[in-house]
Amino acid sequence: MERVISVISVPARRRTPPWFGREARRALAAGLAVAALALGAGWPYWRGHPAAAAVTLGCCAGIAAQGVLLATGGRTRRTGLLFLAASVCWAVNWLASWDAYAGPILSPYAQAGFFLALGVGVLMYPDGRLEYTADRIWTVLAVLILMGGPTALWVTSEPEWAAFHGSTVWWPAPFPDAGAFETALRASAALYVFLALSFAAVLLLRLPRMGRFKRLLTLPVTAALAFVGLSAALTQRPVMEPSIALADLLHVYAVQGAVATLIPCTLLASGLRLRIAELTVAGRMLRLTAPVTVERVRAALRDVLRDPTLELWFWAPAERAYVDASGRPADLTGSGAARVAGSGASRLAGSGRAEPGDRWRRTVRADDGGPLAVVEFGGALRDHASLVEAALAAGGRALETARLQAAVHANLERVRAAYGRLVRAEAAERERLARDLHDGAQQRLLALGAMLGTLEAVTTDPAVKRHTAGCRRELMTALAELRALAREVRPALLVQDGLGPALEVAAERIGVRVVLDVPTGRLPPDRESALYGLLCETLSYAVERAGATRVTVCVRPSGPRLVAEVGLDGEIPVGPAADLAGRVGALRGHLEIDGGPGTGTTVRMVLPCE
Amino acid sequence: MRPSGWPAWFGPGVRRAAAAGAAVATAALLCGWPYWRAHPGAAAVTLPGCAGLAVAGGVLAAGRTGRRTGALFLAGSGFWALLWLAAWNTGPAPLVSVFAQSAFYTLVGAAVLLYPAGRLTRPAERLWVIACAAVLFGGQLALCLLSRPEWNGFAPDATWPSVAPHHAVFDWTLGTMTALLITLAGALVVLLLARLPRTGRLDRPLTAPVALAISVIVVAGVWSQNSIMARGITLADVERAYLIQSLFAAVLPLVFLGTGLRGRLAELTVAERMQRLAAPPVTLEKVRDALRGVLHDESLDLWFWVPADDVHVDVAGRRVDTARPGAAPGPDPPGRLRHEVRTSAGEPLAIVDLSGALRGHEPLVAAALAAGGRALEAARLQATARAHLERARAAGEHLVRVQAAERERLAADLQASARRRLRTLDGRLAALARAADDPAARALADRCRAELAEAAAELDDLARGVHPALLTEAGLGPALAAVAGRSAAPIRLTVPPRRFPPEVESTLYFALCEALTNAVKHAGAATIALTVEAGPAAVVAEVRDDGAGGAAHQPSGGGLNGLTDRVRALRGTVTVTSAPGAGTTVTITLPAVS
Amino acid sequence: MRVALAEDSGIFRQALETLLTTVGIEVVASAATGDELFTRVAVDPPDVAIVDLHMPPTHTNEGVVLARRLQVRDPRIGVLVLSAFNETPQALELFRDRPRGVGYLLKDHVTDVEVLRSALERVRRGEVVIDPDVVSRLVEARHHRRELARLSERERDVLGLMAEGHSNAGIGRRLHLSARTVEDHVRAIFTKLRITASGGPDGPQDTNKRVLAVLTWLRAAETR
Repeated sequence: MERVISVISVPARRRTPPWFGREARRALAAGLAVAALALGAGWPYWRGHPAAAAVTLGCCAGIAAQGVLLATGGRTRRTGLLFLAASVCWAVNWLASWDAYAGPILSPYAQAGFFLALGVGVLMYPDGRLEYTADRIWTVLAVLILMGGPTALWVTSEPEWAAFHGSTVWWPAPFPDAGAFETALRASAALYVFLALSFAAVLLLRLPRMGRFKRLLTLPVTAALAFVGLSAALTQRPVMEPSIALADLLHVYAVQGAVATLIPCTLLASGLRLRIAELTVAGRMLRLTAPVTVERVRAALRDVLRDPTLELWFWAPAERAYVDASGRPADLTGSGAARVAGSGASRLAGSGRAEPGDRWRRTVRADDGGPLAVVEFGGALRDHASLVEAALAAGGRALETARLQAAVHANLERVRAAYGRLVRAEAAERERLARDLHDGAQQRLLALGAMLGTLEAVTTDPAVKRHTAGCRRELMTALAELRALAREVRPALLVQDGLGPALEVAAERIGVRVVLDVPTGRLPPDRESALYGLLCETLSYAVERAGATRVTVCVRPSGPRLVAEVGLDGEIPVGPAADLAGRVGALRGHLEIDGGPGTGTTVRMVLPCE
Repeated sequence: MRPSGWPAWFGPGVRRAAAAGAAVATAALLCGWPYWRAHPGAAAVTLPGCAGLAVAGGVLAAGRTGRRTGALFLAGSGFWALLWLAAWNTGPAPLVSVFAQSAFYTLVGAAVLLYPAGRLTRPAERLWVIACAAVLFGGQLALCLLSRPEWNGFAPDATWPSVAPHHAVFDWTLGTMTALLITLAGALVVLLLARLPRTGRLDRPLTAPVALAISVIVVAGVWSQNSIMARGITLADVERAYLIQSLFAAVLPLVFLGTGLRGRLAELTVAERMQRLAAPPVTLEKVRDALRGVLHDESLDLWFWVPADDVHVDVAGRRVDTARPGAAPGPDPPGRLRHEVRTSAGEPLAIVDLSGALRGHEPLVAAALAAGGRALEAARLQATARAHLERARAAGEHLVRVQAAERERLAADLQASARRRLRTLDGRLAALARAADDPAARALADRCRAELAEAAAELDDLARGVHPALLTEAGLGPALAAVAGRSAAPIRLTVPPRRFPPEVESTLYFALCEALTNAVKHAGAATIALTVEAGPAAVVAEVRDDGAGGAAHQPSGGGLNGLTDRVRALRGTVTVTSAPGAGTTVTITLPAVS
Repeated sequence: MRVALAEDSGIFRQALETLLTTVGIEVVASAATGDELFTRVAVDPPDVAIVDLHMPPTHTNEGVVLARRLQVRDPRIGVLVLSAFNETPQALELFRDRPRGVGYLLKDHVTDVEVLRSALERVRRGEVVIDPDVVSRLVEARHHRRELARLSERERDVLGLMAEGHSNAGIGRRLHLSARTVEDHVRAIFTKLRITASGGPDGPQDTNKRVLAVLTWLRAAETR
């Protein structure tokens, strides 16, 4: 089953209010039609009893309208049709008031049909089928008793006995027998009461087996119907007396009709409750998901949909996998999600498929059509697709925000990690280069120096001695140059003694007076080299660009971070400051520059130290 | 939040209202018992109507708007219960009943005029209330003084202040009263209609149904009252008239309930509507327009807080001079309302400037702003995140550029040392060797020269590894040609002769060298093709070999990983396609630098 | 004089050996690592051990460590540490506590036979030797130029030589001054720079202490 819903519908202007859609209009039409039918059917009685008319017609219309509303739902379709049938039956029931032709004989059947359709309809609500054995048994019994009663009535009686006196009344009465009639009446009355009681029992049996959400919806309807059934069985008693007046009979009908109004009212209330739940779910999700995190979205969905077993897996684009709320990758075997991921241009596509324990999943899509999350529900929520859709639409927004955060975070993390690797790779390469210089060319040149020394020692020739001395001077210069180069490549002291001594030498080289306050303990190597690079750059900016003459450097660990402060008596221009900020930012730290003209400048760098 | 046993909508105010309703219904039941006993249907309709009025009054009294209206309704419902005392038809009951009716209409009329402002805003309204009280109470008193109880349909022994019963005067007074009542009813309807254009767009859906309902009730009341404005009516007539009036009066609480529910629903669904109106991609203007639509306030304005610049800007991006977030809010400008919008985490986000007419709709405004705030927050988050990412990327790019430049300089320095300084030294050593007569010394000098040559060669090698001089001087093509010349396997080169920015050249050079090394060393390729193509948007370099392939599946990507970082830092990509047996193709794409 | 040699670079070690042998200094042992040398000179200690500062395994301060170990085992042994780099902190580390018979020489200066021979001699005598380059860099550092401006030119020369480890007599010889004049200069320097260590009688131990005091002052000036 593939459903497609839209996260955010096009902001088109609706001509009718949101609660008065096509279904509502159709329901209103059906209600009016059935009410008109009932008005026609019971006209002789209504003429004299306008209040009863108002109540009964309202009841008929309500049940019919409710039936149409339910019939448009997927699973409640049968319940809806049965309710519609019940309302028509109730209208037909009032044909008795005409006291002519087939009206009187149809009326008891219509009454029986009304209660039967109502009862079975409620039993089928909201699943659309008779789920339990008890339900089916009750249905069979109800058909037998409710259809058998009226049959026994007309078989054993004259119309007058059943309150009908009209001359045109069609009443076959094959075996009119007062004794049998009375027995049939009493048996029917007892059976009706039994039916009502057993119905209440069946309803009560169902309740504990339902999910939380279903129970919430079913409970009022069940209570209403149990009440209606019992009161119907009890009010039926006077009718079950032989020789009753037609007025009394119709009065009973009116009372039963009035009581039956409870059913459309409760159903309407349930429906309204659902609709309001759908309309308000966005607001509730909004309140529940602040500040936005995946966990919060999950908790909000659980709360709003009343499904504590609801699970949510979030699409992590970096890992190209779904992860659970705590970020662990989840194996959604069967890859229902992956299958859906390839489908359509819809923003939010759903795939409901049979899961063990009747759980089902739905894929939430982002605005750009990419996968956003997979949500798994308990089976009970299958009946509330529109509520689920509304909740997911609102949750999708929040998830999108969360994803945005996560994606950007991941991207940032990746870029920063790459930056870190670049820095480390460069450092490693420089170290290798420095070592190569030291071990190779430098040693060779030093050896050359020793050889020259030897030459000088062995020779007595003043010319050679002079040449040797010149060579040695030249060699010293070359060595000094090489050494300067090597120092630039990699400060040997940093590896050896740590940040403090290395910075001393750097300061010496730059030629500025630096007051150092650096911890003597060693820091993680990559932090040392990062900080060294940053501080050297800052020092050189301080001297070259800010013209500083006094510089202080203070490095100290602060919890999980490293704080380095460079104070100087000058002002660092904007360009170098931005360069520094970029470098510090790429190392996941942040930079603050305080101070202004005349007051000196404090450059404060905070780096994470993990 | 303290968990309470009651559902959210059934708060203490509503519970009190329900209790008041039950009490009033009970009172009405007792007052009208003789009538109800005979007419259960009428009871079933009237008592809930009476109770409903009391409940509506109670709920209104507990709410923010219409507190006085609610209190008056509550009182009115109490008088309506007393009205039914007429059913007892004995003692002072009929007298109480007729004055209770007067009180009921006076109170309901005043209550409706008080809604929703809570005070009588115009002199005409005040005048109407005074006139109504005078006519209803004064007229009723006059009628009582001028009549006997039986003329009014009551038992003759009922307590009745019959001071001067006079048929003609009584009839004349009845006629006058009828005319006055019709005038009062018409005046009320006119007053209510006159108010409609002045109410705000948000208030109109709330007040219009109430005005309509009260108009209907008053007209029906007057009409049914007219039927008993005659001498010699029976108690049944009176009761029927009361019943009809009760039925119509029951509409009032329903209307109030309806409008109340509608308002509450609007508050609850505003998030959904905002979500629909401010669909992504979110812009400031879209959010503002959505707020305008939802709150029915065309004058609404939205000022976005830009933390980086420390200012608020309007939808067009212009600076708006207003209080900084967190600063003590100044008094709202006259007729306007200012609200601060914060992110879900409590950060300042925006300021909304609303029409003062929305003052009574704080929950609706808060709900709409929360939804709009979330949309804005997402937009800001996106922008901030992009900026962060861009900054990090720029830093990476800068780093690669700096590194490339440093390497070039370093290589140049090494080269210079090797060439200049050591050449000079070599010259001196050569001179020394020439000057030495001693063969031992000459041999030593020659050894020195050999050592020096070694050192120079080493420095040259190192320099090439750091950054080949050829690359700096002649560019990518010649540098790669030199690499190809040293390679063990034949390499077919297709490289454009043009120059690229230094960081592009050095990154490409080292990445391609690494790819070539891999092709030769790991893939055992017989022929290798290297192409570099410079398009308008990107430089694409490719190394294709006919070797073993399958490199993508090997865990060790060789030194390519480090180079991939460098390529990515320059916003380029590296792709390796290497099916087993089908050779390996490494493609490096770098965006062209303008 | 008998020396032992620890140096990880083969080329330089060989060249140095040749040089030493050529100038008549006996090389009794020559090793590539500090541990090897330490073992090989256990039985027959040389007069002076020449050790490279950077050696395997860490290439950091093996020379200093070896110098300490050697002198702990045999206090009479002199140690001359060679370094390719001018690294003040390492030099100071070497002269910490009671320095005796230790020297710090840049490899560049090894090529000057006379400098090498003199350093070896002084270390064997128990004196402290510090490479003039190290000292001159300290003295010339920009940051204490103001303080040093208080000294006369001659006093600055004396300060440098003091820092290099020369005794008053040595200084007098080099500057062609009488021992007494040198003493006056030394006192003046100490007063002007507010160095607390006393000039004291001219003995090797005190000279060495004085070296340390001067070095410390020069270094400390950086952070004052």
